[in-house]
Amino acid sequence: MKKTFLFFSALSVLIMTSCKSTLASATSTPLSVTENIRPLDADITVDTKKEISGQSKTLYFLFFRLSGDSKYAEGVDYSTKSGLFSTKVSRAKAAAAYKAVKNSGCDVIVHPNYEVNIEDYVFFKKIQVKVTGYAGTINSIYQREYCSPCSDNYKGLEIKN
Amino acid sequence: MKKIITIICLMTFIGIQAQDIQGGLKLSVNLPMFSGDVDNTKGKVGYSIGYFESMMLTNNIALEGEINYTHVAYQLGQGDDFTFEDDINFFEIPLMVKYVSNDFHIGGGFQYCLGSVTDFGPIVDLTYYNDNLRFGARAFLGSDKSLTGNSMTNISAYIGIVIF
Repeated sequence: MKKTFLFFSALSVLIMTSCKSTLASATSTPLSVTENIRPLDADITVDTKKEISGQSKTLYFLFFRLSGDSKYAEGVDYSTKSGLFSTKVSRAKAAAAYKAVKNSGCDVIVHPNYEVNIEDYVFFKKIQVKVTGYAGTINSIYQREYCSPCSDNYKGLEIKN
Repeated sequence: MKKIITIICLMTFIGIQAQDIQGGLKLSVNLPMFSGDVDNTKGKVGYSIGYFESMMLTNNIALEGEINYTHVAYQLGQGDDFTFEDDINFFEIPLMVKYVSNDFHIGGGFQYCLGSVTDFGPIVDLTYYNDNLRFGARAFLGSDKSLTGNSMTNISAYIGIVIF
């Protein structure tokens, strides 16, 4: 009798103290506000008779940069393979592009050609980049499709309510 | 290591007019000397083969890096009785800044050793340049005592040949 009592007591304790977890599903809708910007077009005058160029030389000793330029052009696609060691070349290209644009006084380099010369040694690394291209001057930037309200010099279609 | 970084950072502030990089091979004979903290340790003549690169940063300052494979031999004993001989091989990576005066280069820097022994310490170097040949002497002041219980000072004399 005692054994039966103990058995049921232990069983009831086990049942009462067993784990319980409740899961309730709920769907959530992420709310994000995005801004749709219509593409911008630029009216650029390209002077094909005016070829511009810029050069940049950088010297590294192990991981340390010993010499090189410190001013870079931002937002230029250099068609460089991305990777751990491509940063050095990209920086040299950006420095060459900066010099080409600044020295010529233009806004963009049209059809840029990058000539990259890398001398790679065990301890030293020399990167020399020369960029050549045509001088491009931006006359105006506008949105091509529709606008409302539109600016005075807008050349596209206007939405009228 | 911090001192190396400091030296190299200082170099970046100096007006650097980098010239062509020179590289070559070198052969050294060395004689290690031990501090004598534990027992008697006596160095024997060893050798080292290596590769060097150097660049003149200004007219008077050069930067040099090397990778050397070094063989060091030594004897252990008590008193005048040396009963045990051993040798070790390891790689040396010295990095130096050199002051150039005519054909003489006086250098200082640090060297990292790895392999049978791991050590780090200062080096001093004196080199004479003769066209494509280099003749020099160097001292490395090690601090690691795991080898024989003694720190090692490695004195070496070398000849190098410029290959590019």
